[in-house]
Amino acid sequence: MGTLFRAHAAYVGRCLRYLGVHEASLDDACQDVFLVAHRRRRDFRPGTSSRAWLYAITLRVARTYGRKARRRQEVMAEIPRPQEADESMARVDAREAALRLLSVLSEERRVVFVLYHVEQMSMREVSEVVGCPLQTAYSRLRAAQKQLTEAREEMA
Amino acid sequence: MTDELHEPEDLVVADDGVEKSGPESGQAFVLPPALQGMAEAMRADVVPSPRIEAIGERLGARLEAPMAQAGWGLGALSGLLAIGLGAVAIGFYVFSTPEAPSSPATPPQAPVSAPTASPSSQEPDPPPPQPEPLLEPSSDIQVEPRARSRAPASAARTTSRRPPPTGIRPNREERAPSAPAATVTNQGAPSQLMEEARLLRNARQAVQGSPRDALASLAEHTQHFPQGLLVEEREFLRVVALARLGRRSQARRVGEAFLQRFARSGHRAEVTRLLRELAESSPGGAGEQEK
Repeated sequence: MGTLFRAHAAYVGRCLRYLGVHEASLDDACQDVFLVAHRRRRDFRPGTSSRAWLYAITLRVARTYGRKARRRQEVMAEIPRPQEADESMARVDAREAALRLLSVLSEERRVVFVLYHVEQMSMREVSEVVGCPLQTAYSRLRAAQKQLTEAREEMA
Repeated sequence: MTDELHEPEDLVVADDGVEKSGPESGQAFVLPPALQGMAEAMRADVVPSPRIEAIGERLGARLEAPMAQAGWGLGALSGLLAIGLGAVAIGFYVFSTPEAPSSPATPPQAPVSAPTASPSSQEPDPPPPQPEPLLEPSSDIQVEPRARSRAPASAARTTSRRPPPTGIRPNREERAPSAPAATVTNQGAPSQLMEEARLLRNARQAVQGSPRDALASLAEHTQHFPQGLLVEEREFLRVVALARLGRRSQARRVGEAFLQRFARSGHRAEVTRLLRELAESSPGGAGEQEK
């Protein structure tokens, strides 16, 4: 577990963030991922990708937090996210711009987009994590990119 | 499912013909430049080590639990990564992807060094999705007060004092999306978005004290990123700066354009307030001190 944690935690956190977990809940959500992983460590099948396994858990945790967050979304929308002391404003701004753009996507598309372009998984791995056929993952990715491009143009 | 274990990347999907050409269809999903900047910034946005360490502490002994015996040859690699993380544990962002996902050198699936001879025969389904009441966790752990303070602010400061990003990266085509770089050490090459954000941060910092400088930063942003991702923020700051300088009619013009253009902006309330103030302070719009 320790190895899994050290190898992936920072990225799991990033992934949670771009899947829409609010910054204030990020550490808790990240912790939850590994708690769940810990509890279900016997389910992990040796020989399969530990990363895919972990990210499947990550996805579910993100969903849970997303549901919670949506209930207060209107309130949260414009509250500045907490930032680390050492975190530059530039980074925070870039993050918020990215989050704003991502928010045009449905959850399905967003997940595929984030796993592929941010987590840099292969599409096969993405489909494994999401639990959908490979072709579906492809079409979601295509749709996500199209939609983001349009949103981006609209914004400009 | 079994064969996947051996050829993770060689799968060719007939999809609808358009996208697929090679083993990994990366080419098909090259992002348009505008989105590449965003993706790049997101990738760089790894949760910094001090936070991760704090989480690790809260997880405590759970981390020592062994996983189901896996032949994961990841051990060594992750060990290295852990050392790396430790080394930069002073609040530095580590710009890298965990284990080079599609790099052939380290396939995520460690080749089945088959202690479990035929996993597929007994368990035809992929493991993860099993509905189970997922989240009581936060409550089942005594959440200790966050040990954030351990991140020495001074150390962090030195890292954030890097020389400001200078150039705008001209060419993003170099990154072949089909072969994600294992470690994108990004320090020297900030994404466009970061550069955009830097200009606007300067503007924001100056907007109350020296709005003229703020306008200069905004002008720079306009010049380099006429269609940037942060246009909304820029135009908002422009309204504030102009109002602050007492350039009322300009402020009003820009403000009204803002409201029209960014119908769902979080800054609307503020812009509306500014416009009202401007209207109140200059009855009839006369007597302005333009420029």
